[in-house]
Amino acid sequence: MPPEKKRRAPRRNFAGLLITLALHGAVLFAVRAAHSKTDEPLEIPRDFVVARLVKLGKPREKFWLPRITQPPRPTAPPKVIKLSDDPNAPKAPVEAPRPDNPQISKDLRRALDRARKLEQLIPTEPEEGQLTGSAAGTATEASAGDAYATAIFDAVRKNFTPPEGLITDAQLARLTTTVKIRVGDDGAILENKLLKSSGNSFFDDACVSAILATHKVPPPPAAARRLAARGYALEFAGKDLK
Amino acid sequence: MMLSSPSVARRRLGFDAAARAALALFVATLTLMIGGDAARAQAPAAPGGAAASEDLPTIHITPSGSDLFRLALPKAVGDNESGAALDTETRDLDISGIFHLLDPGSFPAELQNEGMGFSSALWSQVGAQGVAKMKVGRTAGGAATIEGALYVIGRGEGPVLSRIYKGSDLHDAVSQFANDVVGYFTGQPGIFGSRIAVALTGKNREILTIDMDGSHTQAVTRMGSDCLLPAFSPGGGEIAFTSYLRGNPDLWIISAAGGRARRVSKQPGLNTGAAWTPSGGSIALTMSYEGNAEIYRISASEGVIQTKLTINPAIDSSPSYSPDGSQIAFVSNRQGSPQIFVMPSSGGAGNAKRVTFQGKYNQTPRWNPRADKPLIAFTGRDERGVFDIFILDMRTGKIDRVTQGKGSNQDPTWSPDGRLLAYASSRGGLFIANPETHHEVQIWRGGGSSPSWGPAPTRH
Repeated sequence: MPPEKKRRAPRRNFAGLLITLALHGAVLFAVRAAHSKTDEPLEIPRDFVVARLVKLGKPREKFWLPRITQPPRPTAPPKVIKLSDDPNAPKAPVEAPRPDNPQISKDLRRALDRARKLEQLIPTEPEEGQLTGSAAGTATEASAGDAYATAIFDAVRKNFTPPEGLITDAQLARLTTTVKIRVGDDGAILENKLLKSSGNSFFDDACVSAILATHKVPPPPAAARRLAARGYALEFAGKDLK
Repeated sequence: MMLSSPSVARRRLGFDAAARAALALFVATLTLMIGGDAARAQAPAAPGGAAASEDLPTIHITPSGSDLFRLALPKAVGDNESGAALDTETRDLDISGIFHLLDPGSFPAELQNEGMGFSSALWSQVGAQGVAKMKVGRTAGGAATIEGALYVIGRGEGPVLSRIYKGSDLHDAVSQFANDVVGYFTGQPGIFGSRIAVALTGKNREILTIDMDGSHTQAVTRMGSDCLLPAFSPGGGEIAFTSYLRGNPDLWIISAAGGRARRVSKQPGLNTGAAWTPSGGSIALTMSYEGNAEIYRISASEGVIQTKLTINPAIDSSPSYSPDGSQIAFVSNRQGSPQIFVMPSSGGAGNAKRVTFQGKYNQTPRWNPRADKPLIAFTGRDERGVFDIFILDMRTGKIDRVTQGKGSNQDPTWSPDGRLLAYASSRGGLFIANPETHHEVQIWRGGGSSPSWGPAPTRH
């Protein structure tokens, strides 16, 4: 009897072990399932559209030799900061009021005065937009996710100038480079990885150095933190239009 | 005991079934997890990482403007000559026209005293995209040496170029380093150390040569009479020019090092505007001994007339050979105003073709020495009556402007690598511009006209 008892005990323990394993497996599965749910991508910001107006003026005669029309290159900001205007400067002379034209009849003058008063009543419309908006923005409203993507766009774009003279304009129009960045809760750029090269090393270097020079972007708002930590793909293009 | 036996068996059966089910569940769970992990692991490894970038939100970024490559030149390490070395380096790299040299005043002390090391994070904070560093030294024999290193942000923490240069003097050693720095970016060695010949316009109208960065001026002629229109031979050993020494504008040739000039062509009337053939054996020039100014080809050694290249009642002058020597660009007023024409180098009456159709007064064509870039630089007078430098693209017929709104600029000459143009300006002296970036530097303040750029320096 006792040896039989001894034989049964390990069998029962083995079954218990299997049940424990199954329960552990189920718990692990539940944990994984719960985690995979949060992996769903967040709202993806829309593309930015940049429009540029053509200058108004008389077209140039075709027979004339060409003139350089490209905008000047950025120069270093002036070292002296102008704090205020010169207080000793003479004041601009005030123009004396002109006498009314006696030729105009009383009724006409009254009508003109009324029209002028009505004109003054019309409030001037301030430009619409957001106080935290971008100078390159094209819309008056943005969702929270877009606002943060715009902040990144503004911060990185400021430092992005592909080297003129090393890349021709014709080449520039065809170049795109994608770099992945991840942003920490304090706005520090944690990762800076080339995902897709443009094939032109000078252009790739200009993209990477723009991110390195940016170094830090505004800290993400709470809603954008998870997205920022997961990363953005920055697609650098050589030219505005595709 | 006997009763317990079936129940034990039943229980055992129940246990077995439960155990099997549990085992199956566990295995299935494991399979799912491992399978899921494998699938997840495979996704980013898809070709080119495209899947990874697609599932990240994309921000499109376009350039905020155009700028040159921002290069930092910190203080050179070494003895009291380090200041002079930095001056030459700064000047040369500025002339190349492809760099925006950062103000050294903006570098914090830790970068100024970094030595020959490099931190890409710190340098990118001051806006640099690259850093060129030098260490000045001397060999046991006393010759100047430069240890040069070039770092590029985005290319890791190591230098992309690191070498020790020995030169005849400090200027020469620094020029060699500057040539390699330019070579890294353009794929072609730089041309620092090459020389430019120029005709003085002051009281002493002699021919002078200058280093392309404006240093090391050297008087070539001592004719004591008006000398003009110098032209470096393709090898750089000789300079052809026109002088009134014997009362007539004759063509003379002198060694670029100076010495005694020899008279090559003394036909009555003009013997001007010499252009060497690319092989250096012959010279095309304007002569008027037959009454009208035409272009002829003569031998460079004896001045023997080989061919009359133009036959036209109008004035034909200012020839320039294409790099392969098959074509000649020249100026003619045969259709009214002076314009640029191109003809085969064998010449001929009806073979010339007009190539400029904009502007009323175009002259001094100079063919780009690069065979892959058929460009002709010339002086044009715009509708405001100002002379400026222009470039004609022979493939498209399109004209680009090089100078604008800064005095009157004339007589362009290409650098031996075809990337830069030197010209004389009413602002005084000689200027060099990079026609692609429009970056312009005054290299010399003296009074001079019609510069001619010599060949690239030879290095061993």
